[in-house]
Amino acid sequence: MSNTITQRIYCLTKHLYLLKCLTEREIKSRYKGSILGLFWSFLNPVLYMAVLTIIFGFIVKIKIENYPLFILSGLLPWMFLSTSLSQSTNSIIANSSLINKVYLPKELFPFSLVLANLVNFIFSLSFFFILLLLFKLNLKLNVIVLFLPILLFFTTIFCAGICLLFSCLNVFFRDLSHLVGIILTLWFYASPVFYPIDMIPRRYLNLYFVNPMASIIHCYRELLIYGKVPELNYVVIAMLSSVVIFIFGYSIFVKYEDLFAELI
Amino acid sequence: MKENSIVEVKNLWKKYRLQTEPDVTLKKKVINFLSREKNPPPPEVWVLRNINFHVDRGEMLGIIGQNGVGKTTILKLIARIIKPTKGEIEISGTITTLLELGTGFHPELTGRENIFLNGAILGIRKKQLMNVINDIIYFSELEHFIDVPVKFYSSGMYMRLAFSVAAFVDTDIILVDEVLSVGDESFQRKCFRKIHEMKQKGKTIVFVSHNLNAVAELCDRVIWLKSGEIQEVGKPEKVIESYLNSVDSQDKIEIVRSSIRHRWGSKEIEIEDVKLYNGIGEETTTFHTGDSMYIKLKYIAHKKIDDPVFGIAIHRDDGVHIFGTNTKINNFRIDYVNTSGIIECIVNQNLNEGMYLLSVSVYNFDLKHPYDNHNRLYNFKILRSNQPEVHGPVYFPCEWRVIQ
Repeated sequence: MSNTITQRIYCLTKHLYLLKCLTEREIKSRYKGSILGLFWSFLNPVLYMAVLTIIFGFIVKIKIENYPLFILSGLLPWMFLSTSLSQSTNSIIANSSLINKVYLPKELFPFSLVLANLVNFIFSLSFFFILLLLFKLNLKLNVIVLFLPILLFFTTIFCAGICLLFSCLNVFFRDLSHLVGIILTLWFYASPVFYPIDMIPRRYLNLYFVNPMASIIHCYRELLIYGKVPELNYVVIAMLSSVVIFIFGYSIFVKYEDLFAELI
Repeated sequence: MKENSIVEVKNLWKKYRLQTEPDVTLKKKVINFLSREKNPPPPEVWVLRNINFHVDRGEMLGIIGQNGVGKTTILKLIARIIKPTKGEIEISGTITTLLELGTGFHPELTGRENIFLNGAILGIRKKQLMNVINDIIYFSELEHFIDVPVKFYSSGMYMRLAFSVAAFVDTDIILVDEVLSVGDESFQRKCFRKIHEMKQKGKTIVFVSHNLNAVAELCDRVIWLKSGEIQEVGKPEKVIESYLNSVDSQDKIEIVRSSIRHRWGSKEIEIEDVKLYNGIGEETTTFHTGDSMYIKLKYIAHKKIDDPVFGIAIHRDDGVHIFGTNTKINNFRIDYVNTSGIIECIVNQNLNEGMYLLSVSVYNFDLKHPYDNHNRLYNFKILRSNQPEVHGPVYFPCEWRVIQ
């Protein structure tokens, strides 16, 4: 199974230029005509963070130091996933005119969306670093430089796997795109975006980490806010689940993609 | 695989499901599951049945047939967009599809950005694209608008840009699906020339079209597809003729009318004027059955051309080809033409009452290269002379005798 996937990835390398063009198309068309441009990729989560801070900081009164930044460190990776997923679920159907007329590796469409969102994510991370500096948190740059790229890689793979799965399923179940909103809402609360994982009761902790986003977000937070290398078990869970989801999503996609052109 | 073929299609079958309503929602699946109601499987049709053919390297193959006989399905199968139900397709070369023009354009991006995007979709490498980008822009005649988002383009400009990108694709096999029916007359001519050029560069082209004249002009071989099966393969004129004979007359007029192109050629020699005269030297377009027709072609040669062949053809108004001849057939050799002149053809016609269309042309000696071709640009009328009734398109003077 992973053999066919290696082949597919090798095949994709011939289409890297197209992947780049499609990704550029996403990025350019999203911010064309808006004055703030790429800055939106940061403004969006910041506005969302403000809402969450008001609700959970002032009303529910979760007591955490630097709560806004704490939220933001979870919100940025979360929004990477949620935007990628909600956009790419429809990506096969949205590109039906192309898929029906040219032979292309079809995974390029969800991939290009994930990559476009990755670029956004990296941009917003750099704005986030500026904020961290302003608030004078002790940034451990050497740790970040070492671990952030690895973490980014696995997050991207995870996103890609989920997006492949959903974009493929959506061809067969068209109402899935409506469900995605609900799934994402539930998933948001099941992930440690605005609360720390120590608030989860101990006996449920194993169950809690069935959600791969839990360990991924936790790793980001440890790294960015606390400047710590995340505990090994969380790193392993994050990496393993990313790889498993990627292979699973990709193989489902490859198995059913031949039917796409006839169904869309 | 045969030595010379680049595409080989063997025992190809393709089945489609006829989906009456999209049965593709989760809601429906759940309801069906809960109510334990088994939906009958959707009806299936074989769109292609046992198709066998091959395309030679450097050949231009046309596929004709009425709507819905599976022409586009064949192209999609060759392009690997869909998979065959049975059978196989062997391909030894790279492929592009000249898509329905403009698919893959993004309205918010500029013309230039879209060239890169569309080029990448068609599989042109970046380096290659950098080399030809100026040619593409020049060919599209959109120099002034190239940095404007394509959403501000007119549909004609859109098409021009799309064809121009596609025209610079450099793969071994090019699949063309009815893309030439766009743009104004002059741009269409340009597209034809470009396809001609690709052909001369040794590209293999598979061409699906309803424009029978284009097929006749460009293709080396034609496949006529009828309800999912190959009806006939062979020389363009022959296959097109049997195709036209098979469709009923109302459709035929439509097919002929929609596929008429009026004038083409490289114009080294131009036919400037065509006039018809009767036996007493009067210019007219009305004749009687049996009258001689004097067709005068006034031409101008822009350079010295050796061995030109002038020809005429007569079609009935419903598109039936009645007659055609040329100076070569009639053993009238013209060594060369240099300036201008008039050629006359005297036709001892015996056409029955009706309206007729006249085509005139001048070709090179092996009739491969048109200098100027006026396709059914002139008409004339035939009136009944003294025979009381007419049957069929022509009248033969006949004598009857009692032998026994």
